[in-house]
Amino acid sequence: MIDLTVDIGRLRLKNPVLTASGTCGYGREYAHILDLNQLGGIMVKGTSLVPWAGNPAPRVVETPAGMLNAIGLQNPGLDYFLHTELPWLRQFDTAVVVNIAAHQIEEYAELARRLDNAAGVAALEVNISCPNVRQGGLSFGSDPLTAHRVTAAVRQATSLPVIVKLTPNVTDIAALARAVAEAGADAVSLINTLLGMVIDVRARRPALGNIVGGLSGPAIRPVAVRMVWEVAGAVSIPVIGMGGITCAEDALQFLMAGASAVAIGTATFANPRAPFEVMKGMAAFLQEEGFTAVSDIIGLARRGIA
Amino acid sequence: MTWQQCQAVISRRSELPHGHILLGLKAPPVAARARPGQFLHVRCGGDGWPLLRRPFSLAGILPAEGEVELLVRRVGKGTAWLASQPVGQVLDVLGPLGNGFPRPWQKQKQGDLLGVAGGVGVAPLVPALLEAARTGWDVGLLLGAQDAPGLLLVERLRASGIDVSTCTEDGSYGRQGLVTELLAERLPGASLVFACGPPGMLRVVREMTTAVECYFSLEERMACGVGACLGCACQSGDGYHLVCRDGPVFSAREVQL
Ligand SMILES: Cc1cc2nc3c(=O)[nH]c(=O)nc-3n(C[C@H](O)[C@H](O)[C@H](O)COP(=O)(O)OP(=O)(O)OC[C@H]3O[C@@H](n4cnc5c(N)ncnc54)[C@H](O)[C@@H]3O)c2cc1C
Ligand SMILES: Cc1cc2nc3c(=O)[nH]c(=O)nc-3n(C[C@H](O)[C@H](O)[C@H](O)COP(=O)(O)O)c2cc1C
Ligand code: FES
Repeated sequence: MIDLTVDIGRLRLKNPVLTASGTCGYGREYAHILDLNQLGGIMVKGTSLVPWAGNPAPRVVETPAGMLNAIGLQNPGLDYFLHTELPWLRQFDTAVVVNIAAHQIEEYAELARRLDNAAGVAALEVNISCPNVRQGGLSFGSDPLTAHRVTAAVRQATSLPVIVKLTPNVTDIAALARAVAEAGADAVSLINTLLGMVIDVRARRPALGNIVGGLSGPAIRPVAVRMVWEVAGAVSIPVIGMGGITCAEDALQFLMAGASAVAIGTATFANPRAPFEVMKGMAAFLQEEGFTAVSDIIGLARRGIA
Repeated sequence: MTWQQCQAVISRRSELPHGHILLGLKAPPVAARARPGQFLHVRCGGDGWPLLRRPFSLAGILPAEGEVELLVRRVGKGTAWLASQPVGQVLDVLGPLGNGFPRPWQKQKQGDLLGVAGGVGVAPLVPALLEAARTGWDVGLLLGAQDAPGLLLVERLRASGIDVSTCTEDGSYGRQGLVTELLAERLPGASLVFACGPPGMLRVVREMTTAVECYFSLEERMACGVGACLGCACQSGDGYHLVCRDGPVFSAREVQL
């Protein structure tokens, strides 16, 4: 029997495979064909204090080995989550990680406070890729000082494990990771989507209603692995890796680069059972290669290098 | 009733004009539960490319045969792949998905259903029109296309007792003009209108049908197809609806085009 458990700071996961925020809703859509009990955790759709309407259509467009999305964080708001989605999620034996989204630091803190005592929440994932209204829409995650402030505010407001989700749209992601670790984050997750754009030449205008969107899927995987490698070398808190994972081998790259767990996003759209298959394939790989615990391969590729 | 992921085997295929193809798929779990107006989300490509599935309306539902049909127009990579697959090819599909059309004929003995479609937009209407006709409703279809060969499935629908009127933009068959011009004449008497086609056509249909119940089958770019990604939004009076989950069929007055 392979030991698949991993520890993300104080949070113990039964296995290192989660669903990525925004790609699995609140779990309902896939629950009948993807047994959520088999997963390490589910990172729910970005949730804000009040409902957000989201962006005009078209919101998605396919790109080579990937896709752009500009959903605009449409979500029904915290109250709906607490009263309708969270009670439903409690039936599953899996870690429910609540991804929080806000336009101001005080809103992040308020979300953290209100989720602190909610039964069934295992951890918070703080999406700092959101636009900061006080800084003209610049993302909170684009500069270490602001990222530090958001993290510290959330840290103060909750006793839950705090995972800060980093954006790859920065020059030095390791500096961001150091800033949020200093501010008290229990873990970091990365990467969020890479900013991109497609122009529909027949229509002579941008393909997305929002003009720009976030790139995800296999196209971004090498970038994500490189960033996980850099961040895992820069901070001592655990890393959750994601970006273009479609199969066990992809996921193993992230673990060997130094991630303690992985999340599956875009791959689920093509193959709804992808998270489950990644978990199974990972266990099979460990067995074949003679490992007894998944924790033995975390950072394995770094040995003798970094 | 929820969707499944299942294998669908291509049981027959026929080439239609202008690069359209009609596929018969053996998929008993889908055929047993599908309702007119629902769609399938099909993996198009063998090796993970293209990445995302492609949505196609059910153009035929044959529960006794365990089959469904798709009417596919080649427009890009995914549809070109699908249209070139041989009989016997196994497809990975999610379905049946979406809400489907209302079916008042299940309760009301009599009624007059009118379909309005442009080109391949006829696909989602076919099962609804056939089902209504079988229960004894008066069923008509107004079909428009660029030219005569673009008028798809006309013989088949006529053979099933549906009163099909056609028009072509080049005048090569039926009347010359737009399908909405036919609608002006045929609308009196209709109690229910189902329409599918380009947004411009649907806008005109909506303006003309203020006095009668009217439903549209809409299209939007999709990723998941099951309501998880919020990618297929269409604007309504009170925020956004999801075409894959809340639709693809909407009341004409409920959505903005
Ligand atoms: C609910 C629903 C039902 C549909 N039913 C049918 C059907 O019965 N028969 C059929 O032939 N097609 C149908 N479509 C459209 C079909 O899904 C697209 O044509 C297909 O996804 C294109 O894939 P592709 O890889 O060939 O094209 P791509 O290479 O992705 O794109 C080629 C061209 O097609 C356009 N296109 C891509 N996706 C769509 C889309 N969803 N709607 C409109 N244009 C698009 C692009 O703008 C581009 O110009 C339906 C779409 C939806 C949302
Ligand atoms: C449609 C879609 C919606 C997303 N929504 C969110 C979100 O609400 N919050 C968030 O932190 N990340 C969101 N993401 C980013 C993913 O969680 C993930 O970080 C990214 O897609 C990379 O992983 P992937 O390539 O496996 O999809 C979204 C991604 C997609 C494709
Ligand atoms: S396509 Fe994902 S919600 Fe409709």
